[in-house]
Amino acid sequence: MNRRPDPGEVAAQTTPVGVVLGSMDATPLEFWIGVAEGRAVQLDDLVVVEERLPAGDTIRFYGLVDQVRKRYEGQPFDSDAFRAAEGSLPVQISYAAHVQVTRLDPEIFVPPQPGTEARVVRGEDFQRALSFDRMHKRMPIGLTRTGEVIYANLEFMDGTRGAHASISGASGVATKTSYATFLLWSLFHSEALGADATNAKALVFNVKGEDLLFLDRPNRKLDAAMQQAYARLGLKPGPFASVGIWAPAKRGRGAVMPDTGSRQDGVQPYLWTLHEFARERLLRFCFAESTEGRSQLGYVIHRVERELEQAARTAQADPALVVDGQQLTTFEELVDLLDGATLDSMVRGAAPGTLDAFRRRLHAAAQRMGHLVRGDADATGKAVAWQDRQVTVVDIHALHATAQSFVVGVLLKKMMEEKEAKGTARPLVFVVLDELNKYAPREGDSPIRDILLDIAERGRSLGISLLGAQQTASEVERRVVANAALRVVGRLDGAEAERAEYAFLGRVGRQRAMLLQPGTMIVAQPEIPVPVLLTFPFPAWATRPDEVAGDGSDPFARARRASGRG
Amino acid sequence: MGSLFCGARLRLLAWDAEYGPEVALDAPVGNGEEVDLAVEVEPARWQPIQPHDAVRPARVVFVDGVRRIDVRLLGTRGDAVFHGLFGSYAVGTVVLQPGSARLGTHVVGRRVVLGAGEALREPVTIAPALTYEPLSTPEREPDAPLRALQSDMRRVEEAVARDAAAGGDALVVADGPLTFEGTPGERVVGYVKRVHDLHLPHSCLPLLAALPAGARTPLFALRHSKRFARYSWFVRLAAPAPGAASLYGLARLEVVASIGAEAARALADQTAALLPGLAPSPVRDPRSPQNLLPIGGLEAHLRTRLGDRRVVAAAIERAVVKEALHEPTS
Repeated sequence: MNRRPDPGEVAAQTTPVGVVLGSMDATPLEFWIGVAEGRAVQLDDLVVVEERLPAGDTIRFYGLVDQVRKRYEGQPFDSDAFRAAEGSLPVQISYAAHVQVTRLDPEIFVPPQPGTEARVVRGEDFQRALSFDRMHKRMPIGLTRTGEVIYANLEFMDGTRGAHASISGASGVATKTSYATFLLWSLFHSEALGADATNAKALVFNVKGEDLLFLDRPNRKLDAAMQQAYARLGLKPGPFASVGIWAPAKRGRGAVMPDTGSRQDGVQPYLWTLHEFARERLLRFCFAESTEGRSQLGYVIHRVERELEQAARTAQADPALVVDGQQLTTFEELVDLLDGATLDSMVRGAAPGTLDAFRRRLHAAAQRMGHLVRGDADATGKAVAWQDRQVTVVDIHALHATAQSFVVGVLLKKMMEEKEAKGTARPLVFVVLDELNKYAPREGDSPIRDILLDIAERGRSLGISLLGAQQTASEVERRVVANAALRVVGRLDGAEAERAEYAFLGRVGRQRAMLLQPGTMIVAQPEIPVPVLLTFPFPAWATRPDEVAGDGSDPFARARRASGRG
Repeated sequence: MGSLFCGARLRLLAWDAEYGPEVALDAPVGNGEEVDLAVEVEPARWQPIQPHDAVRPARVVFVDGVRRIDVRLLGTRGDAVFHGLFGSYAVGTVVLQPGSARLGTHVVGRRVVLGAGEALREPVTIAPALTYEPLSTPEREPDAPLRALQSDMRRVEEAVARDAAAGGDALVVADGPLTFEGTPGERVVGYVKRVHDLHLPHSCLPLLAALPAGARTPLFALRHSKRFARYSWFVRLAAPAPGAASLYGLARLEVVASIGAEAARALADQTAALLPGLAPSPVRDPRSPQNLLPIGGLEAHLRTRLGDRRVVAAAIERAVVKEALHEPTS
């Protein structure tokens, strides 16, 4: 993993580019360098200034260039540019770069001496500048534009010292999902996880489009340049090897079929039995919208859950459920039952208005997610088995928001309970969930938000790491964002970039976040005092049907696969 | 209605008052200089000349210098008192080619100048890269050391102008009149920003006042027993705005007479065509329009080469104080 620099590269590792300026304040944490004529310094270059202190120690200031500028020397007039361009006014151009210090070696906080030579560093010095040499377990998370590898400290991903990543960015251009899956790839395929990699699991929710339904298929657009990018990262490109793809069951009775889009083969349907629904107390997840300030309604839900759980315990038979002497095989039957006096007897003393509100909401929810809970014989054994494969993709993109919340809430709740019961943080589970602002919104209260908050706060000790993505971090519950060790930003909308949630970007980072191209992210991590801009390679797995290698325009190949492997 | 100035015709001079007047006409001519107006045109037929087919030179080099007093000194020897100074100057060039103006070479000089014939035997090193060469003048006036510094700088300007003119077709525009010791090159013109001496009879004043921007006067010859003969002409750099003095925006140029009237005429036409385009706006330069853009840019650059005066002065003061503390009291 620790790529040895090629011979010849070592010699080219540092280039003198200029000197520390004395016309601007030089401080231990930031300073400006003047760039010598004929040299170039660009944003994201890493710079080292080595200086001998009077006491005899040598101190090295490492820093990241976060601003470069040129201007005329002196006190020029704006019109001087015209005069200089027409060749009547001689001007001197001052080319300077602002350096944000990332490391002092040793940690003696003195300012650098103006006039001291500054060099752009590459290779091993680059790694040292960003303190990568101090990370015992590190995973590659991208490349700089000059091809240097950027690492993250695994200890901040696996729960040792922190967990979770928060990825923000505008829809469509920020490539949030691609980066989340790239992080997964790196986690599983770099040597960072060590022995943990074998058993570690990922639960990936496919929230939008069909991007994540082809993780197990090679991407035919992967070319030599992309292969090289993977190689630089110390990774071998290819599709995820162990993937389970799950789609919601189609509506209707009889055999359970997956409700899929363009992907037909290898997709398993999922739903829950009525018995499970009652036993596991899943009713609350039917009520996705905020129940805050409606404590009466919350009480009703709680009571009904209790009664159903009781019923499930007494009637042994999975998948069906017997309530009030009635055998229920569909969710509609449960709804109908609760329409009648059964509900009144379950929740004694509740105001009729509250019961009506409950019934109205339950009806509405049943239309959206009722088909995912069945009590017939075909429904058994269709729960998502996320521990069977290394990566489990649960497709929810075609479901109504209520049903989406139901699926996410139920799966995460069960995962938390299982991990709690086990009592160990291993094996690790990585949860990838987009649109976190929908599931853990800043305003309001909902059962699924509670679970995500629980994961954010306790997941670290339970070995659950949430790779959450959202268009706007400002709309996500503060504590969920605050607990993320790795903060990632793709292209941001201008107004969003100004919000306090992105203070870690700094002024220049905010400006740059508005211009980021797909495949480029800014990443902040706990041990590096400045956010770093990086690119990550194009997915080696397909993200669309037409990217699937051997597929695309060849209908015969698709037909062969559909009939063959399935 | 009575006039504001009781009938006197008062007009504004353009330069910032700090810099003194750009037209500073002293006592009438009487320095033994002989002026010949009939070089190009008979004096009676003097008219503004607007060059139409002047060829812009491919290379124009401007030469200029800046100087300053770092600290002033007062010395004693026995009962004699003499003046002195630590001073610095820088001389450099700007090279104009079509579409580009770039700074050329520059020379920095630092001198410790003493009057009344006093002189130091050795250079004085105040700090690394801050060494003052000794210079002496026999004169005793308080201003004599400054004049000596000035003429030392002029010598350097002359050398730089010669170098710039050597082996090339460049037109070299040197600052000030051609007070060179030797004969300057054929393509070296002296550019006089401040008019001390019209050299012309007052009958020419209406012509000067009416000179349109970009036009020049006919050539006139200047002969003096102690200097080489020159051809000279005035160029109007910019048209005066209402309220401006009638002699606004004039610059005088001169070239060594040995090049012949025909060559001088070509140079005069070239400068009249070239220089008005290089005049700065009044907003940009307090000595607009005479302090041309290349010269103003060069001066600003040269001043930075002298270092911060307060820092330099402080270093000299420390050295002098240290010296004073170690001198045996008399």
